[in-house]
Amino acid sequence: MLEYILASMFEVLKLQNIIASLLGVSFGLFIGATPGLTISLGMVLLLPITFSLDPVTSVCLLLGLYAAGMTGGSFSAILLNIPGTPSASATAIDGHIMAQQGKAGQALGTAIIASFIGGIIGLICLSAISPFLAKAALKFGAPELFALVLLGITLICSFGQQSLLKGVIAGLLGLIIMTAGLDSMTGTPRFTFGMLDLQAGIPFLPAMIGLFAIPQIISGLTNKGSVIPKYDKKITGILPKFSDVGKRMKAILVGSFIGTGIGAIPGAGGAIAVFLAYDASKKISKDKDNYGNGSADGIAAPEAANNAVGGGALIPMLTLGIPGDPITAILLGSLMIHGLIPGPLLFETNPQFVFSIFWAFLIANIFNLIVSFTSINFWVRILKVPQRILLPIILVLCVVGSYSLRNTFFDTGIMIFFGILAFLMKKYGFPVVPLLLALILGPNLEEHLRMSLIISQGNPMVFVRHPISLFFIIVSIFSLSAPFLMPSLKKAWSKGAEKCTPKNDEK
Amino acid sequence: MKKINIILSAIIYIFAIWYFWQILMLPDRNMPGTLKSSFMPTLLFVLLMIINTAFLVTSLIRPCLEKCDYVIHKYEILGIAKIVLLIIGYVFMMRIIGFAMITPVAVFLLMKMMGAANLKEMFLTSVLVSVSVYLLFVVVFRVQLPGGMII
Repeated sequence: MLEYILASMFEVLKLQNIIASLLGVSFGLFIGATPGLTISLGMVLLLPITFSLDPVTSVCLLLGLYAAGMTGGSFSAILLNIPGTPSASATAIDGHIMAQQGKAGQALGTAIIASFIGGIIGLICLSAISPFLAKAALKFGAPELFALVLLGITLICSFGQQSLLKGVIAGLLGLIIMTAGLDSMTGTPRFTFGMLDLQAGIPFLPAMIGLFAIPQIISGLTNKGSVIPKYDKKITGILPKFSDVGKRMKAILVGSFIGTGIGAIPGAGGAIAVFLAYDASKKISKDKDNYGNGSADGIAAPEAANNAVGGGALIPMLTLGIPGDPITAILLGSLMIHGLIPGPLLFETNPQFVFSIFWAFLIANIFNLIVSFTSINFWVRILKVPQRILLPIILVLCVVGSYSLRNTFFDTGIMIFFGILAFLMKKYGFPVVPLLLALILGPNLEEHLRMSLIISQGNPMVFVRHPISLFFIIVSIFSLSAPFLMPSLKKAWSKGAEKCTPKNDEK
Repeated sequence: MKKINIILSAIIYIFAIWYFWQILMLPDRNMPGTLKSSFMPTLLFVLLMIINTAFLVTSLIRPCLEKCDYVIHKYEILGIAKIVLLIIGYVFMMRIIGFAMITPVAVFLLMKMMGAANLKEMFLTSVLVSVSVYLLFVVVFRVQLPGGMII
């Protein structure tokens, strides 16, 4: 074990990996700070570059972007009241008020420090929990693995969607699309329509680029009249005092643990974690009234949470092969391009690489802290780059990125198809993430399902006989029925509470 | 909104029936000890029909609470058409005259579509973006980009 830890540390500390991490952090801060650009978009734009890189260098680049993108999102949230990423929404509540009070530097400093501590706590949880979870998951057979993948997809379909049924339809659509290509068990071509390019299935890189980037370009083109406010003041007083950090510690710790926990639940995501963290830190704070009026704790808790989400989301991705959010889904895709399949076996077959991921996440957080503090005024200037310059750059990167994986324009066509599909899906309230996850996990789902049925000679009771698969299936059913059950549960709860609580008016 | 959900459900039914038709046309190459290759698609078809029926029924009986801008405006259709045409044109020309020659033109055109008016800014951006992407992909990362048939 120790030799893997040391070897991976020296691997990550190689010059090219340090440079990759720094570039990832810089690009992440840019993407995060720019309103309208998301971390998912940044990841898919960087993916084509990672083909020619070593897997560890790719991970350094992408994790740098992930960690810094979350922090960068707080810059525009604090200065412009426009969250750069959905995870920075809660930061805007108190952050922008502090900026209006002339305390922009203090707000940004708090956000950066909280992000760093949150990221490190997420990483500690990741490195402490992952090996044990992976060891337990090694005992899973085909029925358990099928039930687990099913659980991952159903959780993504059910969490935070406007309509559960639309989430499930999006997931099913993804699974249907992934059935195109040669059947891995019988070699039969399915839905290839005579096209050779389709025999290997739908390439998920162009699909991911289309899903995340093209709707952004179409929206940019159709909303070209929208004006983003500018922040022209120079920012000072960013570096917080030790005593100030100490005062924020309670909120930071609350945010960090909530972020890690929520991040580990597939589908929950940063946007939920930050509001839970904000709410929880408010509840335990002695200065509740200051929340919403420019409280530094109101920045510290959500910022710690959104960076801790990263560590949490990596837990199911690395140990079970189930991504916790769209960003880790893209990360999983990038590892698969390099032939590395995240899951319990990765800990057995390539432990050094797993430890490299931990180290890469650590240096990403350290560089994020250093780069953010030393160049904050530069990133503030970045907020002024207009969409008319950004979007053409994104378009060129999309076309080049989709083409460069297999050097075929067929993939560019796939990107356009998924781009239009994603735009229409968003327009009609269908979530895109279940579709993406189904595309990535679909082949595994089919393989484990068929394997289980072959082993049991076609008896579907095999999923019920194995207690772990039964547990996962029950949780899947619960996650799908929760949105229907919750309103009635809520009603029952409030009715019960009404009966139990003596009415003050009756005194 | 209720009407649009019903239309969406109808579209999904049409898609599901077309998918089922394609499943029926799959070559039957059942190998001993395996399940047919049509097994998973058939299962997905059945699930899609069930879920879509539930979607249709809930759309009919429950008030739609979703906050969603359901109308596709003319300018959005125009936006999609412009982007698709631009990408197709860009890719088509890339095959003929190569990445290096067509990229500045594509960037220039998209900037124009985005409402840019400053010619100097447009010219500089299009050249700088093309050169940077070329250097990054071809020189630094050794990714092969289309050279074109003419050049």
